[in-house]
Amino acid sequence: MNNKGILFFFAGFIAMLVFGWFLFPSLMYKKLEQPFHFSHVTHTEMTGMSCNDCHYVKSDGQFSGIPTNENCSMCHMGILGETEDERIFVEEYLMQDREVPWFVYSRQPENVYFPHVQHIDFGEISCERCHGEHGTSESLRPFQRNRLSGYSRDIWGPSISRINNPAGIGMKMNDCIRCHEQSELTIGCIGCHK
Amino acid sequence: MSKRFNRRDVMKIVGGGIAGMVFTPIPWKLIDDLSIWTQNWSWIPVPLKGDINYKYSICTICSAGCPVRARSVGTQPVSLWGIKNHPVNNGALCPLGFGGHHLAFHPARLRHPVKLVHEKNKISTEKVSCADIISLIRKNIESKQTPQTGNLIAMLDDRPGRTVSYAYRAFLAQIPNGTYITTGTDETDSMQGLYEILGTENQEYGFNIEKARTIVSFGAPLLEGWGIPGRMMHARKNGCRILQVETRFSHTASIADRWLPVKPGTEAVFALGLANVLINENFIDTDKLSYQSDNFDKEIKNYKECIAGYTPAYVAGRTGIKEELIREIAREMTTETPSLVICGREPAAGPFSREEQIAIWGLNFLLGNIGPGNLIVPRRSVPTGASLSETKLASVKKISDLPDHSVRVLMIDEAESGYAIPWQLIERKLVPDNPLVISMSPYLAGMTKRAHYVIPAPTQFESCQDIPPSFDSQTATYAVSAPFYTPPENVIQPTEFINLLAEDIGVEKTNGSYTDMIKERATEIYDKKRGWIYTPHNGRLIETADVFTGQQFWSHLNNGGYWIDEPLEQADNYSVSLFGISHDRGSFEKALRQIDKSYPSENTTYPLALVPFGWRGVVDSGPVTPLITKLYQETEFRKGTNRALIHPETGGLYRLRNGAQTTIVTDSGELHVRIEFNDSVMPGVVHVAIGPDQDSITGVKQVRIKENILSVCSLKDNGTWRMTPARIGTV
Repeated sequence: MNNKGILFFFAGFIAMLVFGWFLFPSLMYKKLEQPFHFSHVTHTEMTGMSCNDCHYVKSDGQFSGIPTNENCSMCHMGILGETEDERIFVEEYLMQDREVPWFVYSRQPENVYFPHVQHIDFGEISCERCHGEHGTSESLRPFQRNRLSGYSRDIWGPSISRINNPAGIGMKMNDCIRCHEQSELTIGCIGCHK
Repeated sequence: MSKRFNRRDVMKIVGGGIAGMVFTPIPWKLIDDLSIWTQNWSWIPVPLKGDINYKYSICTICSAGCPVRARSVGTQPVSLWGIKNHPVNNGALCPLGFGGHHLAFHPARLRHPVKLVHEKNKISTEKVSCADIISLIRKNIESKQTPQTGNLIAMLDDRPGRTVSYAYRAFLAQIPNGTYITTGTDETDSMQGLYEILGTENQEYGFNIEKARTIVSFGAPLLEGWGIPGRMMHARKNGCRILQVETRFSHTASIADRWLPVKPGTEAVFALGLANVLINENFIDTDKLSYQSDNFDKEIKNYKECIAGYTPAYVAGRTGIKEELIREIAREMTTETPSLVICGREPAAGPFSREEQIAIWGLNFLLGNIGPGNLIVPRRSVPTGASLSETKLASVKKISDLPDHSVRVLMIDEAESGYAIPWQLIERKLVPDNPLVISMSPYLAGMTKRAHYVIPAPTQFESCQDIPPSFDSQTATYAVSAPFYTPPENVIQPTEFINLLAEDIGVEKTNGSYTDMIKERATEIYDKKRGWIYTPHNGRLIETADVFTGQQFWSHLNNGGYWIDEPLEQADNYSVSLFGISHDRGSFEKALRQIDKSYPSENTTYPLALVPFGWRGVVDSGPVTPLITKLYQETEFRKGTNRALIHPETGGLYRLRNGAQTTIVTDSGELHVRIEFNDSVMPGVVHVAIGPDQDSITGVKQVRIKENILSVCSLKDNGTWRMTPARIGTV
């Protein structure tokens, strides 16, 4: 291969590196806006509510997940405040009895379940360990949906290489296993898989 | 450098790009995403989303009948668990049971009556109607066949004792030459020797495992699926020691307190050696035993004379177990008491012969284990229900007792025992010209692959089923597996099919629906007001007498309740004989000669001992759940079908390398196997696996038939095939 050949080869090589590391990740994920903005800060700091007031473990051990209209309507009987998001929520969802189709950042595949009660109550793991600073966010960031699998970018984690992911970043099976190993907790397949 | 940009340059850029791609996340990320994408195809069943509720029922995959708690969304279970502290099994569940709710979606699931077209090693299916199959059976019933030409209309049921079993027997009793048969290949067959020495056929017995301090197991897979899962593990946790007498280093042998690797076929010789030591070294309590036998002094004197030749020195030479160790084990059995002896069966290698069973079970008599309050305890039978108790029933026969070529129509109830059955055992009973084999099965798997027609039956949790007590249960028990969901449209409950057939040929149908029959049985149990019912939702054990009405009792059963009878204080009159039911010393001596010649070391044509092995519930191509299939494929947790384990020394003799493909040759034929060296295998022995063969199940349109090692094992006249003389052939 002459100099020109080497140059072209490396040009292709470098171009692919640039594409693979910088463009490909953004092509793989489609950004979707949530139906309307929601401020965790408003709900926690201004009203004095805590995470557990909306996302709680039921008496039978099930995790309530994202609150439904039934929960929200206890406070939002009418429009509170003057924001457009509040108007959308009350008029387009609560008043029409439609549940809000939130895009869930941490939704796991259908063949697996995650028992919050065991991790929060028995494992004494804080919400932030897996969900980061989501509880103190001013607004909801766009949901990045994988164009192939349909799952959130949060499952894979922010780093496309997944190399040296810190604890609590990424929600793939390897992340679960790593955390369990660090905590010296063994678990079989059917501990998580349905 | 030329300024022209040509095709070659483009190729270099592309080449550089491809090389560069390896150093980017593209290939790895795409592989990951694509694999997840395949999990989300629209036709793949997905658990529902919504509020979780809990339901209770009973697993029906095998005869153990384990209670389960189903975590469900709406009507769909999404996971199954055992019920903690359940009095029947302490909350244990086997790996198959954990995925039991997946079975309704198995790729081999049948949803329409089909005709199977058998080609070379393949089967394809054609849809037919249920009426076509009924018409074929009727023609065979009406044909004027004689015993010489084969005239039996048989129903093969490997789980006798269920209400459906009685329905079959009631139907067969009404038709000419109707015959109800079992293969006799499950654990109950391994108890025939026990019933023989007890001299009773009507009294059921079970085991008080929880009371045992030592268990000497002859080939029983105690810690890998024997009886009710969890019971043995629980006993072990409470300090029970297990001594495993088995040629192969099985999972049970590997975790038992002691493994006694006897040469293949010499288990009964070892048992007789132990009996010899127990009697001659005065380890037996003659005062206690004299109450259990009509003529104890004469019996023990005769027995002592018969087994006089089985000295520790002789037995050591035959079995390969050292003389001192034989004495030590016998001593241990009388010091670490109470000690129980269990004669088991290997799930693939089948039961011991009648003679071997009598020799092994006999040790329990010498140890004083038999009778109420001991380790082998009598229990009551579960009532059949008012109308069935007044109905004439066909008698229960073992398939090996039927004459060869006598069965013209064979209907198979595919509620499998979980144990391997050589198809030849069944095939040789069929007439040679145009037999009709119909299977009632939810899946195109296992024995159903050999049928000509298949009626699609409901799978577990699709219909109401009843659970008679497991063979090892120390009291009578009864439970009902309540359905969680509706079966597909064309699926037919076996009793419904039998009723359609009865209507067509003009005999009496069952009294009401199948659920009605089960309810009638439950009512009879309730009316006796005996025992307790365990209600899993609140973990309470309620006295049956405290349940207000029969309807309430039925309601408890339908919500996972488990009825447990009181222990039987007094057994029917029985008189134990170490010589078996005939009390005949002559026939026992003849049996000893049979036992003595069982090891084929002198055979020069076939110098190896071929012993099949497998695991209950995963023998051959029976349906297992997707979760387990994945585990098996990825981990070899269970050796796949036709994997042959040999000692490296044996491999060296035949110039085989580890992983080589070769053939095992026996008198009955030859079979391709893959060799795997294993130091724990005895030189001169070949263990061939009948493990899960899930590759052969890809769907129902076309299915592969793969012969397993049982196809070349020698079937003895008594229906056993534990060991076959063999040699290594060529590829």
